[in-house]
Amino acid sequence: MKQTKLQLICDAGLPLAGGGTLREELLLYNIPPVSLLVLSGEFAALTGKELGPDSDISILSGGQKVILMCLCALLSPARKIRFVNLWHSLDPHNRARAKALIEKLGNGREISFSEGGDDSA
Amino acid sequence: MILPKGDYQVWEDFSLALPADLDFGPGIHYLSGANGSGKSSFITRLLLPRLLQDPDIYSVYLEQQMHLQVTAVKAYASVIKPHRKINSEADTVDFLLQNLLRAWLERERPCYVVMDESLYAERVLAFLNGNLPSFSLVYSAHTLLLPATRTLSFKPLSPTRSEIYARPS
Repeated sequence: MKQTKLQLICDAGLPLAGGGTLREELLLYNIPPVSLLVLSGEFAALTGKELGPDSDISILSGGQKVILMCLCALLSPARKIRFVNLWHSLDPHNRARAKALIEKLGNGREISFSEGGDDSA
Repeated sequence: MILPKGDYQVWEDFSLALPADLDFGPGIHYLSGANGSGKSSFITRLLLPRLLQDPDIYSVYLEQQMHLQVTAVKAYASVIKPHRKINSEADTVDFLLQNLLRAWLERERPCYVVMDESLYAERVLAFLNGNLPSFSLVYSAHTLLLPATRTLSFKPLSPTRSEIYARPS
């Protein structure tokens, strides 16, 4: 299958791919270990929380999980990303930060968004 | 239902301060605050345990991230009679509300519905307004989705502590 046909779907209703440690989450997103510093730096700037490779990400708040999902998607090698209900879970400050992150890290990719419950299609 | 004022250690590294009693009487109660300010912790660690302990009320809780709840309701709905197919979050919400109404019609009791950043807030309110004469609806969101009787503001004092203030909307 050509990579251009693949799409990473990130649903804020199910923000963690693994739900164990950050290291496991990075593996699932196929994020190289070298990107951990970028991810943890951006996450700390957004949330004030420090994350290491062995941090238990299941104890993050709902909004923090969504921010982490967003960062993982943007640091992954996916060329097409679809965010589902991304804005709903973020407060106004984090919405603005997430938009800035998407502009900064999403360069050259096809990024789309959808919002609403599963009865709104 | 009244939550007494006090200092609540809701997690090992996070506490919530209530400078005054919080009354969750009939009406719409809006929980407002930034990501990580403790809204979900308040719901799951303080509010829900008290609601679930009270045998004289009915309560429905819609989780922020509903995937596990959908699976649980799907399993439950498949073994009760009449069987009901649950295919989506919207089906889950409808099932739980119908369940609440059925119980209330059998025996009237105060009804509480708690929603944590639900995508179905308007759907829930329309159902409650159409079927129940009185209810307490508690919802958290990042914008005022429903006309609230009262707003509870979550103000972070530090990464490990927030304070909750109530004011009429």
